[in-house]
Parts: sequence; structure tokens; C-alpha cells
Amino acid sequence: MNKRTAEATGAAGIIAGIALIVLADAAGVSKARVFGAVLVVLGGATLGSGIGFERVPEDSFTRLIQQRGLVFSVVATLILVLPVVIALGSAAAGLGASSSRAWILVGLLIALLMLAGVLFCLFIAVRSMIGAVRRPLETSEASRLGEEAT
Amino acid sequence: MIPTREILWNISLAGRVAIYVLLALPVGFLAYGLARRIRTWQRGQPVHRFDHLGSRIWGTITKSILHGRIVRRGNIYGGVMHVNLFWGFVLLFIGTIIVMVQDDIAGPFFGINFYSGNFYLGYKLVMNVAGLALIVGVLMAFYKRLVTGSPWKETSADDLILLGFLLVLCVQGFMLQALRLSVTRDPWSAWSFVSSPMAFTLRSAPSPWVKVIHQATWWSHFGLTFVFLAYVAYSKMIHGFTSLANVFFRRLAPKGRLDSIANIDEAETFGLGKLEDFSWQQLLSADACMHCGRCLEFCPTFNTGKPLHPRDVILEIAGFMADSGDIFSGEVGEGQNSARFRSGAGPDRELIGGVVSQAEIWDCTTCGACMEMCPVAIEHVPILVGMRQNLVLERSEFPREVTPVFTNLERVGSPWQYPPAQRADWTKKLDQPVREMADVAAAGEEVEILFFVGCLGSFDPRNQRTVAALARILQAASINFAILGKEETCNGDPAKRIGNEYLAQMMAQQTIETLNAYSIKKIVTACPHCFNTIKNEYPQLGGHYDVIHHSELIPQLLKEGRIRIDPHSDFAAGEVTFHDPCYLARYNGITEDPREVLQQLPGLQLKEMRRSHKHTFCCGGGGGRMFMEETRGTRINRTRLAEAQETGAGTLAAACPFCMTMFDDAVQGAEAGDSMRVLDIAEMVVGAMIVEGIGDG
Repeated sequence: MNKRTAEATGAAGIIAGIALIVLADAAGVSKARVFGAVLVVLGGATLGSGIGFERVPEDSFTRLIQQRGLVFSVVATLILVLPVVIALGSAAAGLGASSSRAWILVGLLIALLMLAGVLFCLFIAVRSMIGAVRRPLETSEASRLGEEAT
Repeated sequence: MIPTREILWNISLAGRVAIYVLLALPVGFLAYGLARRIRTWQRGQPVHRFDHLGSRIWGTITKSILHGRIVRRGNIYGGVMHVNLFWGFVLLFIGTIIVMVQDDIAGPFFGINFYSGNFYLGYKLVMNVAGLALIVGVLMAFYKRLVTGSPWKETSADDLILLGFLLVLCVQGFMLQALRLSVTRDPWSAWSFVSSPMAFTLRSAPSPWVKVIHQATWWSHFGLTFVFLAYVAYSKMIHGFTSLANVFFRRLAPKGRLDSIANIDEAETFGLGKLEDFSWQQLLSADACMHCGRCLEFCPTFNTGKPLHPRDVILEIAGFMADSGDIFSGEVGEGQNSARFRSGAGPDRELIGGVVSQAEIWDCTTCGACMEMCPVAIEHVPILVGMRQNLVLERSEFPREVTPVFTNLERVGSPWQYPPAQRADWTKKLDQPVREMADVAAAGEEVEILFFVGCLGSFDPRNQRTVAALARILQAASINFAILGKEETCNGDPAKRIGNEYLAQMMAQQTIETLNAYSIKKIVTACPHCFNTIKNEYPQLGGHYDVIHHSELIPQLLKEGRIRIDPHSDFAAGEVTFHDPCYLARYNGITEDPREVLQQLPGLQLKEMRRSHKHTFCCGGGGGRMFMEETRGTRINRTRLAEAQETGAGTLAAACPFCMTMFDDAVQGAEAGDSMRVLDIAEMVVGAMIVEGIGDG
């Protein structure tokens, strides 16, 4: 199979897979979904590898990520932390009324830790994307014991 | 009530369809990235790595999957961190597959619901443990990278983004579970011990709200998982594939062997001057690097402030491959060192000079510390020597100090200008004569063992004392041995490791012809470089011998009672530290024999240096470095001497003439002769040995 054929086969596999999944679910034949999924996966792999082996990629996607990284990150942050924020709000409301205060406090603590973790990761990622600085490597203590070679 | 849960609870039909329909995207991106990489590996030279499949599979399981090369002495924190990351991730992935199998195969086709009862409870417990392990692993990694740090660790955005991905995905997973449990209130929710407490916090929220949040979280989790999968092939996460592949396709030859260039007379190119000169497996290995920096821990050049950092050489090559193969990978940002973080400085560079500097290439001592430590079995030394071969044989570019070495090797068969006739002069110091093979053969006799003296032992006055000591031991043990004398030439090790493969093969062939002419079967040598070359490299050229290093032979003789130690001798008494020569300990795994010898010497207290055994620190003399000026950083031999002095020992014991020479220089340079003596183990044994009728002449 040459590479052009591989790409065409891959694309056809994806389309056939999607059609099978949609039609099967519409008809209530859930058994067919897995076959559609297999077709989609194989089609995606064939198409991806076909293009990968053949074509030179565009760098516009790379540039887009570099230029809009901060915007993407802020949007992602809002979406990602939403459930944890809701959990915190709910916990605050529940603490006054519920009889399971101890459990709520434990859950609150876990949620807080997770919120901190998520925010920390996103902060780090954004900071890194904006401009990570290459730090010079320090040599070991042993090197200071040696005589300068030069 | 049987414990179970509704798969894809609260998710609409659109979600069920979308999860499979959109699967084409991450799979496509992943396949695309892998294909780009495979395309670059295909540029390499063919090499057969599908032999010994059993060993390869077993090695991959033990070294990588079971973390045999990752959880190691000195890397317990890093090892445990990686175990958490790896197994947490793998178990969660398997867990996802289990759910898919239940929902799409077992249920619809066979009417089986295995996702219930005790299996379900166990599954929930394991998934919570796995998620927690992954979070712990990520936090340990953050702590290591951002708080404690280490001299050999540096952090790129890629590292942090990946850790962020893993943490956020885990948190989302637990949140999804908590949101569901807060509505369904499963009586068995305690088995989900991480998310269950969070479910309590959500109980006060109105259920419709929670369901909406659950849906939003599910979609973002699903989207983020797909983005993560798509990102894998363009980040260092690719090592999940490449490191396993590299360990599987690793070289199975003896560690100390540098492969010879086959049919060198007909070769048109030499060494590694461009990516196409590498083998495909070497190119794969560059992509297997996970940037951990373990290779730097014992590296003599990194630890003495030289430009060569083995990891960076590999990343420079990987970055160049990415540029040449049009692979978008690595750093998102500005101002990065392109090679280090793989983003593009462009493919229009020369490998040597443009990607890897000559300083990096020539600073290597070939000690193998990088290869010993590398968790993914990358072989740095053959790559650096390959680039040396290209410089020497194609461009005639090498440090000027090496010119006389090559000339002398060609003319007189040793790196120095001594005539071959002087090779056996050291034997004149002995009372008993040492026979040369020519005389033995002329008399129609054979010997039990050939003593391959080596060039330093033959000509260097300091090392002559070592070989004389070994000869005395052999004589005391009544071993029938001989030397080659003026017929001995350099075995080719320095030429080979400096990159002059042509000359190295010439020297090796000459030695093999001589050894075969005398039907030599067994060889002893006091030089780990001779030992390694004859044992591990000569078989490639048709020389097959039983080679033994004197540090292996001496304990054997002691055990057999063929030599005896005077229990009242105080020659070796006191605190002694032993320096493991790289070519003995790391390349050939000989670490205990020399210590066994030392421990039998009366009054000797062995003090270990902080870097010892296979984790020894180079003396700076290997890889032809003994013949080159050390112009960058601090002196390696001084650094090692300082480590020996840290132990408080008054004697530095060695078992290698290169190390002896380097340490003698270091002791003189540091004016430490009064506080530290440098002795070979053979000298120490002779000094304490009961001698019957044998002495100095």
C-alpha cells in the first residue's frame, strides 16, 4: 500500500467508523458501536502515520500555540477549576446544616489541595510557556576540589 | 444490592458518540508524531536487533517495566517517584480499558456484567490507589524539580506541562467520581476512598447543579485526555514508547566492546559525521532520552566543569533529528537553547561543529559512567567515539598532542617512542628471569599463561614496578608463564578510543597474529584496558582467548595457597582506599576481587570512597585522554584524589597503569606525596607476601 492510498484508506476508515457509530446509536444497536470505534481508531492511526511519513508539516499550528498560549491557559484554568470551586461552595453551604461535618471537612481539605494543585500546575505551565529560562547547570562539589586545568 | 455503577452516568448519547468519533483526533496526532520519528530513525544504517528475543523481552520487563534500572542505589527518591508515575498511569489506563470492554464488548455481545460485586469494589480501590499514586508521583517530581533540585537536573516547560497534565487529569478523575457519588450516594462509596469524602462536600449542592457540573467536568476531562494523548508524541512523554523500544533493541554485546568497522579497507565513510551515519537504533536512542540527567551524576567531565555533558549531547542530536525530520516537538516559548530542548535551530547545520562541539567530543574519557547510569540504556560512548572516528579518519582533525601517539603506534607499536627491544627491560630487575615466548617456542615448550604486559608496564618506570610485582607473584606461585617481549605491541585500545579505528585494527591484527602463532590460550594482564580489549574486542577480529586480570588471578592464587601472605607484615597496614578502574569495574563488573585481595593483607582497613564499585569516578586517563592536554574545567585526577583524601586513607590502591599514572601526577601536583601513597594491589601483595628465595635484583 503506497502512502497516498494509506491516507485515503485512513480517511475512509474514519468516515465509515463515524457513520457506523452514529447510525448504530440512532438505531439503538449498541453492539455496532465498538466496530465503529475500531474503524475510527485504525483510520486515525493510518491517516496520521500516512501523513507523518509523507508530508512536511505546516508550522502555523505551532505558531498559534506559541502566540495564544496564555489565552488558552486562562480559558483552560476556568474550565478545569470550576468543579472544584463548586465543591468548595457546596461544602461551605453544607457545613452549617449537614450531620456529616467530619466527612465534609475531609472532602473540603482534599478539594482545597486539588484546587491548589491544579492552579499551581497551570501557573507553572503558563509561566513556562511565557518564557522559560535555561538555568546554567551547577557542577558538583567535587569539581571545586580539583585544580583548574587551564 | 450488588455493587456496581452505571457506565457513562449522566452522559448523553452525544457524549457516548463523541468519545469514539473524536478518538480519531488523538490517535491521528499520535500516529503522525510517531511516524515522523520513525521516518527519522529510518535514515540510520541497518543493524540487526531482532536476535535473542527472549533476552530482549526479559530485559525490557526487568529493566524498564519493573524499574530495575530506575530504582537503584542513589536514586531511591527518583525511582519511587517514577514507580508512582508509571504504575499510576498504567493502572488508570488499564482501568479505562476495562470499562470500555464491559460497556462495548462484554455487556452487548455476551450479556456479562463483570463490572460488579467484589470485582467492582476491588477495581474502585485499585483505581483510587493508582490515582493517588500518580498524584504523589507528580508532587514528588514537582518537589524535586522546583524545590530541592539537583546539579544534574534542569527543567523545561515540557517537563512542567506534562506533570501539570497528569495532575489535572487525576484531579478531574477524582472530581468526576465525587460528583457522581454525591448524587447516587452509593452505599459502597467508601471503596473510592479519595473521592468519597469530596462527595460529602457536594451533597449540599442541588443535584441538578451537580449534574451540570459533572457533565462539564466530563467533557473537559475527555477533551484534556485527548489533548494529552495528542501531545505525547511531541513531548518527552514519547519516552514511554522510545525508552521501552530502546531497552528492547539495546546492544547485547559485552559492555566494554566498541564495535569494529567491518571491512574497513573497503569503507567509504568512517564514523558518525551526519545523521545517516548512525544506526537506526542509535537514532532511536536519542529520542529515548527522558532528560533525567542520571548520566551526569558520575560523569567526570560534567563534574569537573567541562563542556561535555552526555545528556546534552544526546539531546543535541535529538533536537537536530527533530529539526531535520520536521517534527514539532519541545519547548513552547522563546530564548531556549534549541538543541537542549529540541526546538528548532534549523536542519542546516553540520552534526560535528554545528550540533555537537569538538570540545564535547574530545573531552570524553570513555569511562562509561553515563551508560552505566542511563535508565533507558542509551550508549553515549560509542556515539562520541563514532564522531571521533569521523574527525580522525575523514577530516584528519584531532588534538595535536595525539599526532605523536599515532606516529609512534605505527612505527614502534607503542604510544611512546621507545624501541620494541626495550620492552622486556623491566625483567632485568627481577632475580628470576622471565622467559619470552620466542624462546619458549624455540625450545618446543608451552606455557600455562601468557603475561601481556602492556605499554605502560613495559616502559613507564612507575608501572614497571607493578608488572615486576605481578611477575614475582607468578613466580612465587610457580606458574609457568612467559611474556611476548619485543614482539608485544599496543593492543590498539588508545587508537580505537581516540577514533583511529584503522590503526586500532592494524594493531589488533598484529597482536592476534602473534598470539595465534604461539597458540596462546590464556592471558593475564595488569592493565584493564588491555584486558578489556583482548577479552571483549578481539573476538570480533578472530582472537579468542581466556583473559584474566591480575586482580582476579591474585585472589585465586591466595585461595589455592599458591602464594601466602606474611601475617606479621605491616607493609599494607593502615587505612587504604581502593579506586575501581572504569574498564575493570564498569565495563567488566570486577569489583569484589581486588577488595578480596586487600582484605587479606594484615592490618589493612579498607575505606570506601563515596563513588566506588560500578559507580566509580574516572581517573581521567581513559579514551586516549592520558595523551591529551586537559585544558577545560578542573582536573579529573585531582578531583578523584580529593575524594580519596576525604576518606582519610594514607594509601590509594589501584589496579590499572593508567590510573596509577594519573594519580601519581595528581599526588605530585597537589604535593600530597607525604600523606598519600599510590600503589597497585600487586605491589601491596608482594610487599606482604612470604617470599622464598625471590627478591629484587
